[in-house]
Amino acid sequence: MNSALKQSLKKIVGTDYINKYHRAVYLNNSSNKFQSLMIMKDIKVYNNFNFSNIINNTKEPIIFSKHFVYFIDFKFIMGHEFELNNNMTPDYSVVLDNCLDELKKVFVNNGEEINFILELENYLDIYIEQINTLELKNKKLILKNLKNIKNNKCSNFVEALQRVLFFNQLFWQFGYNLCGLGRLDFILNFYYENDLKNGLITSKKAKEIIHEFYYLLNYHYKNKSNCLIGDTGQIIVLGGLDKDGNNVENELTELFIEVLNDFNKPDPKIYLRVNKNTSEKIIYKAMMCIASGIGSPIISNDEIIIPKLIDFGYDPIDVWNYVPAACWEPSICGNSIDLNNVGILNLLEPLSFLFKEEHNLSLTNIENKYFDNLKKYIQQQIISHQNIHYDKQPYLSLFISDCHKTKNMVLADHIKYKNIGFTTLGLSNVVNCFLNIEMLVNQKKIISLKQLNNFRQNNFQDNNVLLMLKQNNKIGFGSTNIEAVKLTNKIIKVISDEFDKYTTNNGGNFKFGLSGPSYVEIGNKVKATYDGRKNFEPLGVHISSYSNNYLDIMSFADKINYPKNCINGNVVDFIVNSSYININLNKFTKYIRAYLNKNIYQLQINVIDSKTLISAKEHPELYSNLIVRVWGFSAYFNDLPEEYKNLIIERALQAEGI
Amino acid sequence: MEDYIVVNSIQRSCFHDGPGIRTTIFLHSCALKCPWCSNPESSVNNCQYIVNSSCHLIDDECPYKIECHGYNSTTELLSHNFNKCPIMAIEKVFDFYTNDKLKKEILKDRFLYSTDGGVTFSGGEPLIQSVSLISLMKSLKQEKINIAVETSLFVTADLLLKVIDYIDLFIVDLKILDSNKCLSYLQGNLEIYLHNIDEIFKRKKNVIFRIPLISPYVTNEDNLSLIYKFLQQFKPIKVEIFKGHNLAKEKYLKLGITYNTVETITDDEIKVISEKIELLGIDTEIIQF
Repeated sequence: MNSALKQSLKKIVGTDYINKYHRAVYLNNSSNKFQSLMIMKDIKVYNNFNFSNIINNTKEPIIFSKHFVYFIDFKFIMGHEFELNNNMTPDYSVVLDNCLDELKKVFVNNGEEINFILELENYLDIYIEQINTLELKNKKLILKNLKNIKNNKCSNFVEALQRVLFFNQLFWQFGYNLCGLGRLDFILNFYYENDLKNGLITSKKAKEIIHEFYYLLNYHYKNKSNCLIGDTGQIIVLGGLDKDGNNVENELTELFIEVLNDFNKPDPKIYLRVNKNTSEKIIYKAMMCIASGIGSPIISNDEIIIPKLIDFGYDPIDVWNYVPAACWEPSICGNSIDLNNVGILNLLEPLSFLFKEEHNLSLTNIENKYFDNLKKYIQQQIISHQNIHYDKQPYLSLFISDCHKTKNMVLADHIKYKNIGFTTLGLSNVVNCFLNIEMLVNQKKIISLKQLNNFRQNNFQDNNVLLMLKQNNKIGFGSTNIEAVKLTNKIIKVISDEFDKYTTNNGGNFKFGLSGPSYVEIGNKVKATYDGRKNFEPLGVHISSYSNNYLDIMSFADKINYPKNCINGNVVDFIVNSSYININLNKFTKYIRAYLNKNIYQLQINVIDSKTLISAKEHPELYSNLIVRVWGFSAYFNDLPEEYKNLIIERALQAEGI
Repeated sequence: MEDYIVVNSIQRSCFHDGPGIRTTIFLHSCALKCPWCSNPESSVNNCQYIVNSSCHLIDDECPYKIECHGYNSTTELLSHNFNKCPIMAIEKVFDFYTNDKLKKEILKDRFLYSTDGGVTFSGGEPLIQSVSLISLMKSLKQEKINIAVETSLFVTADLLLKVIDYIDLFIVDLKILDSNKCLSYLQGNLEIYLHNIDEIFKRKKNVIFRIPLISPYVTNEDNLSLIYKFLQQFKPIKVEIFKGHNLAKEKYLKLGITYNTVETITDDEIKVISEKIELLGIDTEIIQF
């Protein structure tokens, strides 16, 4: 359950509703969480509700395809007392390798968890009964695959995908948000190859099956969305390494990408892990998919990320199995209760002194004061997130290897990884504020800081001043200007050193990243800044450029030093014109590959053109399928709030040099 | 005394100027006067600085108190204020590079070249600076950097021969093949061009012909017939054709040079030309800039 919903529920029904996990909250008269928030008065809380009854009480249909069934009722979600591990990617291989009977053995002597598994079996029985009443072509096969969940480990590709769907639907039902799908090419390949060998499947048939799988995952697209429509966290991780350090790349890697390209919808999304042994073919297919305009895959560079994760403290024997928590935050699959998104640091906040009265400080003093304030600000933010209480989370416990080892449910003290992650916003704005002051006030002496502040307070009504600042931004953050790189690294270092001083009550460490969500919403609270950003305009987007040259941003990002705790998502983000990338796809792929051999941490590319976006804003009815990449997810352009539409149009124009 | 190479600009990660990913060095100076030239700055020797489109002033007083007088400025004033303009509106049209400095700039992109990319000397006319380029090209060959030149070939043969051994690929403009028209429209001596073509084909160099389909200078039927005939005799590895554009109009204005509107041809017309060249058994690509 997201925190806003939780707070609202607390207000209305008091804390009683969350006394125990698995108490169902019924969101009346709505199939949509956003609408639900507006009709809070209609919320009913079932104090003694058994989650199995969801299926008996539901009016939602069980959705199905040729080989699969899938069911979530978003009107019922489960309440939880403490922190849930939202934004997480479970290790579904646990439930492929183990049936519920086996899991009961794993948790032997833990009555509470065993009871939970029995309850799960009960749910499964009712589910099977309901499916029995449906008219399905492959009912026998579907029922067999579902029944096997109880007593048999998985035996084939179709069954494995059905099992992922079944356990995935329960994550949503239990109130988890942003539920990832995990490393599907890695964990499913055994079943796929076995089926190929036994003549049970062909690659053509597998494509049809994956297409069905995508269709079902996509079905509740809006209900699954978190902050904005499209922000579902439904990420399929492909590629990467196995535990021996070998490159994971197989026919399924290609098929999952190819089908996504054909599927042509913003959800699910792919997160492609690449390393020095990833083949050109896979990178080319990924680029083809990106060039089609669906905003995915996001590319993640194992060569940079894995050593950093080890430096941070993740065990070298675990890091091969990292996955993104939600959008980009790396986390260890299957043995982590890291909370990767507890807060967003607005790096402009500690600069607010400069917008007030102190205009006579030298640049060095301004910088020093900023860094002092930054440290205090980080301290405040961290202290408010230092004491974390986890809910027992019996469902998640099934997927955590340390819970298997200790036979306990999720409790922080026996789980290996329980770190806390922050995202950040405004780094580019801060860097450009400093560089503009240095250039225009100190070096060229065109304007005094006091005058500049007056213009800022007037929201840069003077076009000449605005032009001056915007022109200078082009040699600021994201450019090849070495001073911009130095200042960026200096700020990162200060944040890193401060983060390094703290641990959580459970012994977890703090981490941060240079990417952040909600740059429109946070920007809405910030007045004009010295980078020429007007009152309440959005903050900078990830690691992106202020010029029209995407080559510069790659070169800039290559020079960023990521300290050991700056690991929580560092996405280079740029826009390329669709006709340009499609004409030059081969060379563009080589270009991306060359930079992945350097210091690029993660990369996402929006392939759009301003003309289409402007037309889509004016005539949404003609562009119902237009997809764009927002902060860490793909979404339909038409589903975005106006401010996001405007921002993406503005960035597309900037990328085209208009 | 060390030779300087005069450079208009350096463009990194180019996808169009030869195989692979390339660093294109636009060299200053050109002997031709093509009416459709999109790099007029390469032929301007009397002003090293211009005021770019960031500055919207003409004669008004500069709000930043920089006395450059906008478009009406003198080179001296612009040079004096080059680093002072707060909106960076004063641009250097060309700059002087030593061999070492230019080599260093090129090698920054080496990681992008892979097995097929490299450096492309373009212009202007790069071969005009052959003498200054010899030691740079020699040194780049020692570093195993692939070298291409994008040339009009309207330079004396001795300039071509000074560097010909270092060049892996010639991207050669193919424009007007009637001697009189070539002289009258481009101020180029076609005999020199044809002689140089012989020299590079004699040495079995890799050649791509690049044809700017500018109406009516290049695309008139008579000239196209000459081009098809020429291509039967001198078969390149590829022909690249492209439409003219008017993107350089603003540059002409800043440089104070009269601009002639470039007439473009239709997509259908370009397709017909492409097909005719393909019929000669030559790989043909329509490129877009």
